[in-house]
Amino acid sequence: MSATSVPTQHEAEPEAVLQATGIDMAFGGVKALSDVSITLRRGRWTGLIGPNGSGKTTLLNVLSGLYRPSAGSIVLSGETLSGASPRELSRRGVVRTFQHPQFAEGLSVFDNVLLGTDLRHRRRSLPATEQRLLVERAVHLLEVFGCWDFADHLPSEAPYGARKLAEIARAVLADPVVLLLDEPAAGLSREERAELIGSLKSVREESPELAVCLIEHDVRLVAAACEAMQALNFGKVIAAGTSQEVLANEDVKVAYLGKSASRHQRNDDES
Amino acid sequence: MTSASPEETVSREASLDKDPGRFFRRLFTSAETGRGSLLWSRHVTLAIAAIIVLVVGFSASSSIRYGLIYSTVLAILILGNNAVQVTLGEINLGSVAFLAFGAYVVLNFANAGIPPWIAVLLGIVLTAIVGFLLAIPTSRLTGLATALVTFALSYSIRDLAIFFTPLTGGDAGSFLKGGLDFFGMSGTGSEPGMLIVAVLAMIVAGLGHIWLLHRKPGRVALTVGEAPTAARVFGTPNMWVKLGVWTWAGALGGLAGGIYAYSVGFITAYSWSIMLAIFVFVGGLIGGTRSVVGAWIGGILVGGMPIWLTNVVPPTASTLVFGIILLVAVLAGGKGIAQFAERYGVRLFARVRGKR
Amino acid sequence: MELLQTTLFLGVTLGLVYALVGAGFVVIYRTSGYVSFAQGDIATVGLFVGYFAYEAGLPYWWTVPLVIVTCAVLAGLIGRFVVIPLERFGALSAVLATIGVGLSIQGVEALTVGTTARAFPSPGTEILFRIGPVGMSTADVVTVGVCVLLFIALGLFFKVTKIGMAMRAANDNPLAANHVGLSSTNLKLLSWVIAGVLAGVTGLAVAPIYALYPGAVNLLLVYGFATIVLGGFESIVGALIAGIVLGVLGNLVAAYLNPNLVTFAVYLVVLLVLLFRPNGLLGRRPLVRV
Repeated sequence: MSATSVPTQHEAEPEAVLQATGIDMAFGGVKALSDVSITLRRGRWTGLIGPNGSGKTTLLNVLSGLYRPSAGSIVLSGETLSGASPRELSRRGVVRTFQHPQFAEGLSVFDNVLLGTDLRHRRRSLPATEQRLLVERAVHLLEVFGCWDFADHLPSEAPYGARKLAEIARAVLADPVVLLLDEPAAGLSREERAELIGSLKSVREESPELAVCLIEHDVRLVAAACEAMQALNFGKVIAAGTSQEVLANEDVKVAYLGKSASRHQRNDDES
Repeated sequence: MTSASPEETVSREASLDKDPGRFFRRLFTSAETGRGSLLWSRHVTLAIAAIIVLVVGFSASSSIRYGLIYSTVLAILILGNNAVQVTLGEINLGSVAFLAFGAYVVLNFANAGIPPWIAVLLGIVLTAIVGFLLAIPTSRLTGLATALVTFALSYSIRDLAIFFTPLTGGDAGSFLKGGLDFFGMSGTGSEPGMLIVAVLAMIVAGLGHIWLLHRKPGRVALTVGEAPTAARVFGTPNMWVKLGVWTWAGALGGLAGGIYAYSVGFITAYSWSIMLAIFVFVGGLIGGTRSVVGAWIGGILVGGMPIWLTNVVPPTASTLVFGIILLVAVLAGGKGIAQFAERYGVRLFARVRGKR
Repeated sequence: MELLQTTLFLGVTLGLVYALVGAGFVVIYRTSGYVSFAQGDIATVGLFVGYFAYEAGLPYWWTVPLVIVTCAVLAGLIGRFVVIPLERFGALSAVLATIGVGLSIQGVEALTVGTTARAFPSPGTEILFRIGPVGMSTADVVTVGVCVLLFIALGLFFKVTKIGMAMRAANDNPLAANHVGLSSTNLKLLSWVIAGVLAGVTGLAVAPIYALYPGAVNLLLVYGFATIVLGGFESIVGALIAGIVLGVLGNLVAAYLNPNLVTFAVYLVVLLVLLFRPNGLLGRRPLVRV
């Protein structure tokens, strides 16, 4: 899948679009994030992995403005936006999905997806025909993500998988500069996950400049979709780099599989 | 190519859709959401309801006509109250405040010599402003707190009216001079002219409701109410949306108040009771929170019915009737009579057309 | 100065009654998560029963337990057979059910005993003693005494007894009931019965002052609401403090500004408090899960 490989030392890194540095996030006495930094670059998909409770969603909430970090800075396309509201961030092109689909139950799935058309952050002004184009794009994206069949249903009548995919379609519809995906595959069946990988590939082809941060538990999926990766544990970054590097990292394996499993792995490797 | 909102484009496409499965699915969903493909059928049912009210009103006794006028006034109030309930999910028990304020504004302007229709217009605008101002603190509250605070507001209206006796006539009351005359027909009391005025006002309010709910404002308001975090991360100015909904409720309350003032012709502080606020809220739920005809049914239920029941049953028993109806409605669940009717109608239509 | 003293003392007495109303709300809210609008109407039923017994010759001090027991039983029946079963439709439906019950009770009362106001007996209007310029009647003393005792009892019940603690937790955690061997329904039933007792006591305190007719005690509803808004929906102590604050505040507004501004002042206070402390002055902050 990784059509774009992480450049080597000699090639220039793509431009940094969203740069979060030294993020601390404390709730009362609990420190959910400690000195976390992450850089999302143009055209690069960065995976964010880590066990439950490691702070992945918390980081996403900080990046999307829902939480105000206790410390640290966020720079978006050169503009310092620490402590910005979700509205300010989204209007500059930071768009996110939620782990549990956030839909209005009293609106059809399609109406919910249309929320993505409310963002007007593109620099070009929109002609009147843009409206129709937006509708067509919404339909197209729902088809890309394979949930067009449920577009006219109420969210409660659509299967969980369809709602999750529609949630992603909604985010892509907003024509983001930075796309933050919170566990898009959680709750999806194996076939749906395979479809999801295909849909994400289409998104990548249609929007090659998009900077993406993908939180996932499914390590294979993240590896298939993302060329760069960052691993969190207990609110701290324990590894960062290319997907291969991070997945091979001992600390990451221990965090996910536990010390004994890692030892067994090593024994298997050695024998 | 006219500039149309995405919603309109979709509903237009729906009628052109060749896929019957999609077509019926859209109808079902439309009955549930109060938006979507049933747009034009809702215009039709509104027209039918208006015609029925007018026909019955013209041909019946003045007491029945008065009941219909009062029902329609309450229906307009319910429409506004429902807007808050439906879109923001808040229990709004403050409708009496809007009704009273609108009525007193119109009373004062009309008695000062302002032409009746202008007075009503002023009533609408000023009450809308009050709605906006009240909403600034109130929309920061949620759920139960909103219910209790708006309850306290409606409860205080009677005493406030007495406090402002110079402006309101207090508990002794004030007469309203003149009428909302309509092409030579007298627009006061239970006159046929008054009924026409009330029905026209309801139609205007209803059309406004339908158009707002079916287009982008409705979608945005519903999203703010039911998925506020999603709304925020997609750039929706949640606070302004809430203020807008409350302002709309205020405007409708002012309209209802103005017509109420001309219809009863005499307002005292004792006109304003907290029970009315509860009835408006409950009537809206039973009639159907997202539907204009539902609001009208609610208005008849809590407005007209008690008046008509006094002919049959002692006035005190009407509370019992209403209480039982409420309990039955709660048992039945659902979103009200109108939604039930639409759902049933769509199902019938689908069966007739051979689709399940 | 005299006016101030009188205002303050009577405000405290009145405030205790408000607190009692609030406590009735708190008890049900804690266990079930909604506010019952039927409290006032439950009280009037008990009061009517007591009234007719008293008129038939029953001494006042026997009328008191009669009223309270009637209210407790009625509340238990309403809760168990009407409102709690309707909880499965959601909190809003439960609230609507309490409104429906309240309205039905008023209708039945109007049909059976009529709407004329009746004088309800008082524990005694003779002045027992004076605190400065303020005369405390028997009724005042009894009211204050009973309220204080009730609040102490409630406080102990919720903090010390297992059932009480389970009731505190039941709203957040439906399994809490199981820990004390009661079904969740029975725990809620208990909360309704306790609320009924509180309603009965409230009725006994106010009926002599306001006269008895269908819907008489509902005049206090809004003050009860204000009390729990200020004191936190789940706090008995909060209800106590907030009730007294409201009673005193209301009396001050009535004495120094205008009696017709009291209800508006209550609205403003409630509004302002909620704006800065959305869970009431003493309310718990709900856990926010994202």
